[in-house]
Amino acid sequence: MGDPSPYLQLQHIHKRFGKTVALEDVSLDVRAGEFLFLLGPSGCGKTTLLRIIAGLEEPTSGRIVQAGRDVTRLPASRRDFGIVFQSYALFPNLTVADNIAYGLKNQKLPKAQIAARVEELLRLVGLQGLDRRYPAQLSGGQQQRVALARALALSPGLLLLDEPLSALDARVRANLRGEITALQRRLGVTAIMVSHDQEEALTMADRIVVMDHGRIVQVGAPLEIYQHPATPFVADFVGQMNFLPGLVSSEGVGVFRTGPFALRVQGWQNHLPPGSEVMLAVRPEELRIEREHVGLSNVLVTEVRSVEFMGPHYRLLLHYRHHVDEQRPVSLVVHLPRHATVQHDLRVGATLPVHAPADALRVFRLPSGGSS
Amino acid sequence: MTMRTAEERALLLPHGRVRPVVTAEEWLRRLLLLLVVGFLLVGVLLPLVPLVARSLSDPEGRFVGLANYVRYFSSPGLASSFVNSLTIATATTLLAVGLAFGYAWAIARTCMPGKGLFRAIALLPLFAPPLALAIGLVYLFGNKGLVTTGFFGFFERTLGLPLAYNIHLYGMNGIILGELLYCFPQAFLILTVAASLADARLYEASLALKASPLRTFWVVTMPGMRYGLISAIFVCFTLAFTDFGVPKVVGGNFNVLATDIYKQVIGQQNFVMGATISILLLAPTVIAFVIDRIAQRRQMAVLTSRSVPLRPRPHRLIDTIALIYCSLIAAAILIVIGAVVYASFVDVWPYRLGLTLRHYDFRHVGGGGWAAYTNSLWMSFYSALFGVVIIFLGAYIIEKSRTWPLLRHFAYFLSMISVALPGLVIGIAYIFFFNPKSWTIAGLALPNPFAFLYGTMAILVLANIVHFYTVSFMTATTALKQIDPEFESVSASMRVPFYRTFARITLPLSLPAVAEIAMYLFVNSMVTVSAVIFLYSPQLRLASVAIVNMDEAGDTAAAAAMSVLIIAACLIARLVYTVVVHQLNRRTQAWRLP
Ligand SMILES: Nc1ncnc2c1ncn2[C@@H]1O[C@H](COP(=O)(O)OP(=O)(O)O)[C@@H](O)[C@H]1O
Ligand SMILES: [Mg+2]
Repeated sequence: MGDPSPYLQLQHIHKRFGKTVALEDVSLDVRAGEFLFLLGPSGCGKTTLLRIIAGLEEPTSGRIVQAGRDVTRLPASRRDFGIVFQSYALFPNLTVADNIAYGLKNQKLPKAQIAARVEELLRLVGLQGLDRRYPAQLSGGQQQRVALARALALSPGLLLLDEPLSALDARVRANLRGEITALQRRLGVTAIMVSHDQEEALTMADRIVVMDHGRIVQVGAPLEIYQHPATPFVADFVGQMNFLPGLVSSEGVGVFRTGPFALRVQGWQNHLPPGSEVMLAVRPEELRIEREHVGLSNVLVTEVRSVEFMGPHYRLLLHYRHHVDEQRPVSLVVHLPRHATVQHDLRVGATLPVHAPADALRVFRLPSGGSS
Repeated sequence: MTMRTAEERALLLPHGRVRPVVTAEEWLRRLLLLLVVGFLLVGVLLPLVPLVARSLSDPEGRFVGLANYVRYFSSPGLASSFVNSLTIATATTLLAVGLAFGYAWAIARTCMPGKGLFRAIALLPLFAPPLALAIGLVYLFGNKGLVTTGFFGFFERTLGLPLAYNIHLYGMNGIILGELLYCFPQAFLILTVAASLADARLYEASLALKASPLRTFWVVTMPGMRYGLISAIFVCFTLAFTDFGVPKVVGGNFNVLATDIYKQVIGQQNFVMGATISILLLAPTVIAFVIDRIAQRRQMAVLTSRSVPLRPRPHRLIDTIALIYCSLIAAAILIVIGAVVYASFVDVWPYRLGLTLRHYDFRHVGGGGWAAYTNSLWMSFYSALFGVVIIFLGAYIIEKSRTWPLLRHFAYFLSMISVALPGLVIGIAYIFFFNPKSWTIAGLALPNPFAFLYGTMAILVLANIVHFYTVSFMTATTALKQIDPEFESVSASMRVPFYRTFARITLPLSLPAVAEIAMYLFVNSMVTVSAVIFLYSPQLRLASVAIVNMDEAGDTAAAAAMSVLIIAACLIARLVYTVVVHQLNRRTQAWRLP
């Protein structure tokens, strides 16, 4: 984190609710103008962290610096942020315009100025002409746009979003994804969004913070997280991943055995003694089916167990023999583009050679040794 | 790093919390919370201290331990009242809950006609003082009652049939009948809610499994109603055990705890024994209260699960039986209340049955007459007004703020326990707490800062608000819980102070609940006698107390007239409430869900 002047700094944040530890030593720098995602499974502490950033919850210990100001002890009303909740939290008895103007009116601005600002915000979120409606008369997507406009009304330096899309149906969600990102880019506001949906995070975020059990496990750009997951947890949570049992081979640095096969892994620097157990990981779409495998390295010869049609691709479930326990075969999932299926024999029980490219393979040490 | 269990790691992590800067707004919230706690301390908790202390002292104020209780239980005359009260309460509870269960079930689960009317009639006794119900019984079953005299000898004269029937009203029979009328609507209300929570999917499953109707009843209906039943039993038992009005009028020589307290305090000025019996009156209600709280806590899970409301299907036989059953009960209620109304207009019951308004001219009877009635109206109005403000703000600060968690929990506790305090206990405790010019604590005489309240309208209003606090508080809390808790967060993010959000959002959204609380407080303050009978002053007589006085003096017709006036005021309050809520719904329907 060599950023010279982060907009928001979280330093050693701890939070416990009685015996539950919700956050454990969370430190994070958020750059000005970036769209940061807090991603993790339900219950991992994302909302708690967001509420602590907002001042809606007090940390047990730690420090928060926003725009160069230590805000750790400031209540929410003294901080600078706008917030959007999953429930939208729109005031049902106020019109769309009054909802958006709620904070502006409190600032004692002239009426005309408030009206102009409301108009501007409505245009920004594409809801012109709906200013006199009540929230109950809007669709879910429209309600969420109002909540967004309201959060932006006071031009906050920081926009916080807690799973704003998860109550919407898939199509509306996809549209809003693009709109929120475009809006954030255009306004240049620093934004932090909570999500448990990895696809959402990968498509929208500048950077993703992956959390698990109250801790940060990895911070990085979407591609970086996807290609170089720091732990098996991240690898599994972001995208899909095959985990294959492996052994460090004595055939050379970066060579591993799995079942009866040898796999070379590119860029493997760690020197583990031969025979050490590891976990090899490879994404289903990075595996290739080879017709002619003779002479190729990094090939696993597998048996077809099932084939499922998924729309754009087929999902193949394959098996091969485990190197220790012959009774327990190793499973492998491969995504095969639809057009590629004609060239192969995919009947259950057929033999299928699978190529695992050396640059697509990752190695994790087993948990007892800690992650690599 | 060696692996530790989550618990071990938790122990190693920092404790405590970062303390936010205390803003002016936060001070305002704290002040509000302190005011609410102060009110509840003075209104609920502190008055119980001298009450308990008195029951443990002799008349000169020396500590005597449990001697008063020993004396109570060793004097056969007094001790039998305890057993009598238990008997009355048990019998009433069984009858009221049993009958109300059938009535509520018929309304919720059958297709019989006239459900709205049956509902309205079942709730009618809520708008009458229990005393009035007892007076109605006197006119029907008393020595000169309609039934006792065989319609004033009408059957004897015309048909030659001796159809007169004496149920021996005065005593246990009368009390149980009166309490039954008094408790029935309360049980009905609770059980109606429980019955309407039924999940249609369970019934469909039961049908699909070809379970017999009887089995469905035991396996599906009863478990769903269980918590409603527990609650109804608790409420009925408490009401019947502690009620003063009915036994006062039809008790005869059958003594119960409530009338004993009245006799000890008002008749013999024996405050020590009054205090002792009050504690005995309190004990079962506190136990019932605890059991009810435990049961309600378990119910949460039942309520939060999504259920599909059950739509009853027509069934000729069942609908007919339900209609007959409900008609009989509704007729009984209407006849008793009708008897009171009729008797208030009859010249001399049962000899000269001509109609007259002379019983409404209270000048020649005791009790305070029309002035008492106006006093009661004002008292109920003030109780509703100040009560709704205090109770709603109290519920708001407890539910919607994060100020001083421990104190908030304490305030919640105090708000919930007042329901376990019978009116008589509140009244007698208030005498001990508010009457002395100074309190003696550990030999030290402390001036009583609240003594100025004694004998004023204010103490009557305070007693009523405290007496009816818990139910109103729960209404307010339920309404507030339905409002998105993030409204407070959103407002803070926009730097809008909490009181503005309260005024612009929270209060407008809660207006139906506010109206309901005000109506509830008004009606109950109008009909109650138990708390205020110890607290009114000769300059400030009350309508419900006037009924007691008139009945004691044998002016039953005047007592009936005063009862009718009270019922009228309550029904008008209810009408106003209905109109207000209707208007509210019309004005707000734009933003309610389409
Ligand atoms: N107010 C609270 N009281 C007690 N425990 C809480 C509270 N809020 C959250 N938690 C606990 O803290 C953990 C993290 O919760 P949360 O931040 O809501 O997770 P997420 O948003 O990632 O789903 C959970 O175990 C949750 O049960
Ligand atoms: Mg969450």
